[in-house]
Amino acid sequence: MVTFKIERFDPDVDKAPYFKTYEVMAEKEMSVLEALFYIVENLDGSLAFRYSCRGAVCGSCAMRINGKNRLACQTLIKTLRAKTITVSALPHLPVIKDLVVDMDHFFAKYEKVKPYLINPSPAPAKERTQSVKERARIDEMINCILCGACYSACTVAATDPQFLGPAALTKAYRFLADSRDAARGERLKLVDGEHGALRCHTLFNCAEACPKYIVPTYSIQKLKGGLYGKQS
Amino acid sequence: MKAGWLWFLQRVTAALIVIILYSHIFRVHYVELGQPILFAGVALRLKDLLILLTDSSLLLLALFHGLNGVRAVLLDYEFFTKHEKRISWSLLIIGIIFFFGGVKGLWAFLIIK
Amino acid sequence: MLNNLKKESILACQSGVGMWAFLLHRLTGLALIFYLLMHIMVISTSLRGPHAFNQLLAVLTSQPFIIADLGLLAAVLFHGLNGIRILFFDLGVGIRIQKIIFWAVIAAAALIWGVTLYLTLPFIMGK
Repeated sequence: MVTFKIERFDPDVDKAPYFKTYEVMAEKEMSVLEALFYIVENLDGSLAFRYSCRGAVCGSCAMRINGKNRLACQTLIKTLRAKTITVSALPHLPVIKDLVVDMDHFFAKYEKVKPYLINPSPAPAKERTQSVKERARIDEMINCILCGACYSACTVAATDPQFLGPAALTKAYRFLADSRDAARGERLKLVDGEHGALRCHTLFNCAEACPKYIVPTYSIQKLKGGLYGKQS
Repeated sequence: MKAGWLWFLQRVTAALIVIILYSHIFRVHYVELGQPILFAGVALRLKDLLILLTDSSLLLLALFHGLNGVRAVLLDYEFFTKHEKRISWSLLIIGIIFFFGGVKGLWAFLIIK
Repeated sequence: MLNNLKKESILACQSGVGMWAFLLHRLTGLALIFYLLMHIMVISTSLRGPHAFNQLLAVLTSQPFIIADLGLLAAVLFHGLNGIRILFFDLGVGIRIQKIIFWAVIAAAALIWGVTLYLTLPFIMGK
């Protein structure tokens, strides 16, 4: 038996969030997400949480598990090495219900950095090709699944609502470093200014949080260099 | 690009301060460890034009770095972002007052007998 | 409509060493600008002549202030050395080994601080 302390909050009914305890029959290799399924099926059908792929690809089930932002599907109960597992919604984001947070701000900022290839030159007959070396430069950033774990962990994003945040900035660098992209100047302008890349204080909270082991700080530092004319 | 300039100057001043401040502390507090700090001694030290200039530039660099740092701290918070102009000007005025006050204080060692 | 941001401290963020480095850097930074302004005012008592200056400095080099100075030194060492750590990141160096660099900063600061404590101990113990 594993005790799950889960933060419950329905803004329409509750004045403040509170914790509810559930005893889960944990099986070997059970993930936190599976434990949440167990709770919904057997103990409390009113618990709300997001999930989709169950395989750490979609980025829907990011939540705070035992003090860290993680993907519920990727986190096995046994690796937590704890009798009690505390689960709450991603911090610093508005709660819709229980473990479901409002990601609107996150995606608004994501859209701000134009997360798509910009290249006005006509596309070749087959495809725009890249060398292995050119592709290797963006291998890390491409792994982002937009789960919001980094954004929620970022202290600067929490205190300064205008700050673009680690995920959007990493995406900005992902296209800046892409050999097929032709909008370097435009992209740098998007991350310039008081609340752009320069507001990152290199806390590395984002890197601690990322379930895909991306270091957003690396991309952000590259963007800062780009703002001062450094080729990267 | 104002943000860019302030950010860049913060780095440049940081690098210079690390060098000048650490040598300043070493010279003043380690070389003459335990000696009482007296007006006459400071005056003698500041007679060296190089020391006078490095101390004055350290004053300028540290004030800029510190007050610009305060600005960066404040602008991390939504509440202060709204008052950005007022904060910047206030800090600039504080900086100017303390810089000229400090320079005057240093010169006093050379003038007052 | 939806405005139900839970009240959460900034420490609710992941707190690896990077977070602690940042917090310490910020706190020491604020303490140091406060000290700098005090320092300028203290040195500027020179305007009131040698007697006033010597009298004030005699107080400021007494035992309790030497102990406070050791705290000041700790702040200066951490802020300066961690500042170098940050400068490295800005040059694109060491981003992926930030934790190791953080502990190197702590070790260097502790070493210099310890040596200084050893050197100043006779003056603290009274002389």
